[in-house]
Amino acid sequence: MKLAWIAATLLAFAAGCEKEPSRLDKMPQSSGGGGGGGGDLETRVARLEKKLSRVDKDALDFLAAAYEQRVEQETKAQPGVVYGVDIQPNLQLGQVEGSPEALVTIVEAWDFA
Amino acid sequence: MVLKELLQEYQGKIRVVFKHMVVHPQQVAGAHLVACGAAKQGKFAAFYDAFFDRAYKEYTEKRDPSLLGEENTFKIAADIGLDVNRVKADMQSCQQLIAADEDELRKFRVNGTPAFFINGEFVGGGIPKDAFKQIIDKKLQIAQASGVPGAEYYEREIRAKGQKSVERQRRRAEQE
Repeated sequence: MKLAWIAATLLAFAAGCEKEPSRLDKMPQSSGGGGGGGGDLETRVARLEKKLSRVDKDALDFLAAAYEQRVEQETKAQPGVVYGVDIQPNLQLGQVEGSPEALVTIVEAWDFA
Repeated sequence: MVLKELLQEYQGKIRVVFKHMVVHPQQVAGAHLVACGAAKQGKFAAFYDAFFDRAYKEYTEKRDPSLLGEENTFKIAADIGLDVNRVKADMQSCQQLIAADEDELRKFRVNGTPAFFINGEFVGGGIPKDAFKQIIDKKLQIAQASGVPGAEYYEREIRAKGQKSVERQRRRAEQE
C-alpha cells in the first residue's frame, strides 16, 4: 500500500515537471523585420540580443549627449550669480574709463571687429 | 556707444574696465597690441575711439583690409600723439597682457564679444541701453546699502566674494 502511494506520488510529480508546450510555439512565425523571423530558438534569441544591444547603444549615446548639453549649459556664466573677475592688470594698465570711486564696475570683454 | 552715454549719465557712479578678447586675430590682433601700448602711454580711450572711427567703421563700409593693417594702425597711433617706437617696444609685454586677459575671461567661459560683467553679473552680448540702466540701478542700490566706499567696493564685495570661475558650477552639474 505504502509502495503504491509512493509510486503514485512520483508519477504525479513527474507529470507536473513535464515541459508544457509554450504558447509562443503556437504563434505563427513572422517573416522578416522585427525581432521575430524564422530560425530556431537560438538564432531568434541571438537576433533579439543583437537588436537590444543596438537599442542600448543608441539610448546611451542619447543620454550622454543630453548630459553633456546640460553640464555645458550649467557651466556658462549664469545671470544672477556674482563673478569676481580680476581687473587689477587692466586698472594698472589704464584700460578703464570713469571714476575710480565708482560703485558700479562694468567689465567689458571687447574686440574691435 | 551705449557705454559712452552711460558713462556720461552716471558720471562718477560707474566705470568701464576693458578686457581684451581677440575674436578675429587675423584682422585686429595688431590693433589690440597698439591699444595696449596706448594704454601704457595713458591714451587707451583715445586710440580705441580713433581706431573704431578711422579704421573699423571704414573697413565695414569699404571692405578694404588694409584699413585694419599695420600701416594705418600706426598712422592712427601717431595721429593721436602716441610714441610709435615705444608702442612697438611694448608689443611683447602687451602680447602677454592680452593673453592674460583672455585666460581670465575663459575661466568664465566668455567666448564672444561684447560681453559684460556688471558688478560681477554676467551679460552676454549687446543689450539695449534701458536694460543696462536697470541692472546698473539695481547694482547701485546694493552697493550704496553696503556702506563700502566706491574705491574699495569692487575688490571687497565683488572680486573677493564672487565666484572665481565657472568650474564650481561644472562640478556641481556633474555631481547632480
